[in-house]
Amino acid sequence: MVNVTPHVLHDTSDLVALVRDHLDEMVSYATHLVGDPDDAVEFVAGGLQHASRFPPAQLSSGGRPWLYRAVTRACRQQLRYPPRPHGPARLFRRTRPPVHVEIDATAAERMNTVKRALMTVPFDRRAALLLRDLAGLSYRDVGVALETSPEAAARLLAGARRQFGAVYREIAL
Amino acid sequence: VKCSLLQLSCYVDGELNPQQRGQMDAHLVGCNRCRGGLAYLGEEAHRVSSLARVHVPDHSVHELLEMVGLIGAADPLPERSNAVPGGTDSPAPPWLSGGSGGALPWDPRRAEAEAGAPPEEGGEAFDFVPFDGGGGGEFSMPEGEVTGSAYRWTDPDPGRDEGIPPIQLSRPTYLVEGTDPFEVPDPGPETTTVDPPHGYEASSHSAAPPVTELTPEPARAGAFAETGVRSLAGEARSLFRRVVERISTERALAGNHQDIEASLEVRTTPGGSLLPSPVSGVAEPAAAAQAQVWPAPSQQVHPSQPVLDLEPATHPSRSVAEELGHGPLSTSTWSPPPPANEAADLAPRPAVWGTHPNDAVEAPAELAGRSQRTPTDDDISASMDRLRSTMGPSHPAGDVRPAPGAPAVGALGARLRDAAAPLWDRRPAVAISSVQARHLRRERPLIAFAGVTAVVLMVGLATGRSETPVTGATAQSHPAPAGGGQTNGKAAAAPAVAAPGQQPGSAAPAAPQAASVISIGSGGTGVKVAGVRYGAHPGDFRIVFDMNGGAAPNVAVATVGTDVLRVTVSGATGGSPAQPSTTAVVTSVKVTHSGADLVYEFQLAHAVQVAAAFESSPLRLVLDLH
Repeated sequence: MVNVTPHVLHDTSDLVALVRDHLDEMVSYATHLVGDPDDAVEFVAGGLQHASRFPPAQLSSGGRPWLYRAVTRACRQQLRYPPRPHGPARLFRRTRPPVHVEIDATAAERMNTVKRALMTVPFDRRAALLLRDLAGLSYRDVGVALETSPEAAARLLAGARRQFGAVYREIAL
Repeated sequence: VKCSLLQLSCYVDGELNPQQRGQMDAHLVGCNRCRGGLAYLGEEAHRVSSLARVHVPDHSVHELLEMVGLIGAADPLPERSNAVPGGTDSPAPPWLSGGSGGALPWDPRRAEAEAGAPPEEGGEAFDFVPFDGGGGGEFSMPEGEVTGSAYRWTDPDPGRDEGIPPIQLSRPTYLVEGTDPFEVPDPGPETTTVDPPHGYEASSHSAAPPVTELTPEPARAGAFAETGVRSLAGEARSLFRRVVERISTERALAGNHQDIEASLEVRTTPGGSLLPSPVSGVAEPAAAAQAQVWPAPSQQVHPSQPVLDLEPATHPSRSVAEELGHGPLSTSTWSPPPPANEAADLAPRPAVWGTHPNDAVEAPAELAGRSQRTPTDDDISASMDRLRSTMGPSHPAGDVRPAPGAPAVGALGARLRDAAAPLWDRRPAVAISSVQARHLRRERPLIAFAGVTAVVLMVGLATGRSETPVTGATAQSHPAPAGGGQTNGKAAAAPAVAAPGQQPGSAAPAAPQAASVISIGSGGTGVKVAGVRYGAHPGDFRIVFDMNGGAAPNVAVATVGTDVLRVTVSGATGGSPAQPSTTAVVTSVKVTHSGADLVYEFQLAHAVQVAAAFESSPLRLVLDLH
């Protein structure tokens, strides 16, 4: 029998400190992963909400890739927090992100060539590329975040770099 | 070591163990392909690492953690483990503080790692067989082999940065509390760059990428819409700016084309000698290369053009046109060129025609607007022959190199040579035609639009419904069959149509005269109208005149106003016709005799269009009222 009961942390101070240290990184990663800052904040909140219910066994050693794993899963499965309303009522209500994002026209909404090339890469490859080159995770941590082996992460990363470079060179002309 | 993109990627990321890394280093020495691939991967990694970062301020972090349920509303937010000592309430992110920390996505140099420090716990690298695409199988993870940290980074040239001033990273102004987040920040800290080192090392030394701050919203109501409006306004401004730039570019190009075209015109003197175009403000293309540096006369030898000895001192009695074989100049304003001004020749050549002292000699102002003509092929070939004849006998035909020992060309000769230079390679004709072709390409949409409009008008005129009433001449072009011996005239005689209330042109007497007239028939006489029959169909009403006789009489069908249809049968007799049974179209009819003509007047219920035709066997007149 598999126990699926959420594991509630009795002491969240370690998790809060971990999130405090890496929240900027995760929001940056999610922003470039999904292409929109508002969605990124919702997905990060959804990932943190899920992570608080299913914490890792060793928070101190494997906390960082585990947080990225939660955020990546939330972005892949469109898990927002708070969830968006369903039904006809959503047509008459505009939900706001939990943390309001003042879109800075200078950087966040600037659709440069790198971003456009990045959005043409498939999700897993894009995530591997961002986890390695933007967040600086090792192959082992990338594998944890993407729920793959380190070898598969290495393949994903090599293929992502090749595809991203081809697309970038094509559209940058 | 095989060339493998996967292995190169691992090499870039420092994920290979020391043995594999050494093998890869040795392989890269002799493999250009892998060196190129290494630079390729390094560029891609650097691009991704230079993406913008997002900074979430403290109050937003507190709000987020409180919403998720990790902290309470009254709980304080823990300090960052990498907080800047002495920082403000919202400390700058570690990549702006200049130091390393846990949030720093890339690891700067670590002296202990370079010194070969023991690897950290849990940070071991894995050793695997790179995938070479040959179906070699799966990767294998050697057990128990811990080779080093994944973050270990070896600097091949530790003393490389000596002498490079340190980077001063200052906090951007838009990160200061209370500033307007929509203002464009000072790009100073973002544009700080370092010499790009080789490969992936660029990401470890480059300046921090721009940071986007998630600022709190002071008043949430309407801020979201305001943000959307600002974004739309920015897009609109960007689009407008691009359109304006495009228009200005097109206009500048068009003007430049005109200037170039004017500068490429070859002007001739009345005698036919060639002169460059005195276009003010436009540099001569032929002399553009020599515009700034004008060599001495002894050095003015063009490598690919013949040299003419046109020094006035050597031929004081011959003019320039005579030298070129065009005969003496007929104009009195042209005087023999004065002796060459050596000082003027040695002076720097101005870019604008007319400002050089010798320009007045070569292109008098009186000749600026004189006759111009474009040289033909005969002129070009004649000029070529004359120029070839001036070369020494040792040169074969077509060899344009200067004869050995030939005197250097002077300023006047150089100018004429430059003016005639485009003739050798036929540059003016090509250039002008290309400019004209470019103009045509620009006007191609206008020409196409005019052509399409003309075609549409022609099609509309050809296929449109003509409202012009058929005149008598038109109706008479389809004569009715004469006599019973003819075949069925229905197919041969097209019915003439007349619309009420329209002016027939020539047959338009004063009202209440007939408004339109249809004249048919072949002039038969002695016809007797036996009777009149009526037939009603949906949308159509037919009146049939039964006649007894050989040939069809002349019949004039006219509408008077909109309620009277008058039918005049010439040379016919008849009695009173029958009244129509239905009054939907024709309400009544009466017949009168006017001399030898028989006139029927039908009272109409409404305006109709009339078509008339004769039918044979037996002879009858058919009127169709629409």
